[in-house]
Amino acid sequence: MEETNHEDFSSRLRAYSQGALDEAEAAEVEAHLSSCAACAGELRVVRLLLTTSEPEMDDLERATLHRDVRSAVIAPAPARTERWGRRLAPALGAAALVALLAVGIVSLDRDTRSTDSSGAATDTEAEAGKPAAEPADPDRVATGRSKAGQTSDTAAGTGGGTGGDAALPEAKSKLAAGSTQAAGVAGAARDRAFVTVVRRSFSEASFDRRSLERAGANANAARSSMLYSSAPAGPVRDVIRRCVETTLATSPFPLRPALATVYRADDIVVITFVWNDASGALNYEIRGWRGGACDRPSPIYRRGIVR
Amino acid sequence: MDPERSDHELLRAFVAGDHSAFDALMRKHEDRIFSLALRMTGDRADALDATQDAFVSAFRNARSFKGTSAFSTWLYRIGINACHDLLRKKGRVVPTEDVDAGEARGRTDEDVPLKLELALALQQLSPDYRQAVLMHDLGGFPYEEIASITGVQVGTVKSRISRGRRKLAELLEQRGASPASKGT
Repeated sequence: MEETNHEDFSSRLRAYSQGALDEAEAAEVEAHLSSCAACAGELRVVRLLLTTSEPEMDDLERATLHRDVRSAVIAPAPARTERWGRRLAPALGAAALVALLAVGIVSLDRDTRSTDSSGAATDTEAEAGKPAAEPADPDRVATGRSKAGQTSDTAAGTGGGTGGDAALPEAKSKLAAGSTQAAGVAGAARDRAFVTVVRRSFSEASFDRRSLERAGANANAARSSMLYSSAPAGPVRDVIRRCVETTLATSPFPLRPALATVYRADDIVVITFVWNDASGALNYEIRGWRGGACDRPSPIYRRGIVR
Repeated sequence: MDPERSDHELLRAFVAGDHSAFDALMRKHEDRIFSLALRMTGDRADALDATQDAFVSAFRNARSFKGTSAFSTWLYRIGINACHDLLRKKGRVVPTEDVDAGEARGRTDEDVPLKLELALALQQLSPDYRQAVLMHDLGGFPYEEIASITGVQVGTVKSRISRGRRKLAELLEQRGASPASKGT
């Protein structure tokens, strides 16, 4: 067998291994393979390269990657002055949010000043057909690399503020509304958009002090994230609380609510819960609701282990 | 973020200061670069570092991207270089895989040894061969594109890929880790 011939077959092996050759060509390659150990060896390598399972980045890795690259190539935005999470920040030191979560600071705050408005008026319009608005967050600033989850300092007790001061001016009843989802032609597209927003929410969440300080910074933004316990009183907080309660009541795991993100434009609430499994590993799961339909448990859109 | 925008447009937008293009570009390409880095380093933490280095380098040099090749090709090459640099810096021969972390993610660990062997074997390959094999077999780039990127003839690419694979097969065989030595 000449070398050129080898290379001719060799160059078709990737296509062959992916079933991309037509029948005649594939037969030709097979005939050659049966008599050529070298090419058969090549094929094994191609298959190995193509098939060894590809563990994707998990959400935290992805979030860290985005944040770190961003901080290296885009100058951080100046810090804002008004922050919902501000009263949390001073005692935090450099602890990552994950560390906080691990010691349960961010616990369900039942001492809420807001009234339970379950059964609030429904908003039947339900924005059917709303396009999959991108939850852009121009406020995100980049931060240095800090792999979360290393520290375990117990800065407990700082997180209890009920935070009624930072008003949510536009917290309209849409979010507080009971569940009505207008089923319609746009339903499927809306479902997809919903899942996209919820799943993406995690990669946009940050897990370090600076983002903690920034948490919920912009009450008027289309999207705002806040530590669960620092959500200002009001309809939004109420929706968050009901979503949390529904989830806690139905989950077999000792979940703790951690981070709530509100996509006002999309009328979506996303809540990240964490819990420690038997081995002590910190797990997270992300659930989302739209249209204030938080009386039903949400499926888990993402789950994983915080390293 | 507009899914319609091409890589070139996104990169231009990024250079012009549109930071939303940054996320769009990362989301589009990060999995492939990470996958490449994982193959090349055999180590998850290293792969993440290399992926980060690659993107940082790409964005910092965005202005120098001439558009003569596809952005994905350009980025892939940067990714390969980032892995080389990282491995050189670490001077590490044996990659380690955090198997526990792997299991925690719900991965089966049965393919871990083979993956490690593959990463090891790849590191023993000469850089030219390794680049050609990875770009084609893993990255899916056509021979012509690899030739223009690496500045060699298509015939050279063909032979590098073919020899590279055979060398890999040999190395894996020596290590008793041949994927399917049981004939074809």
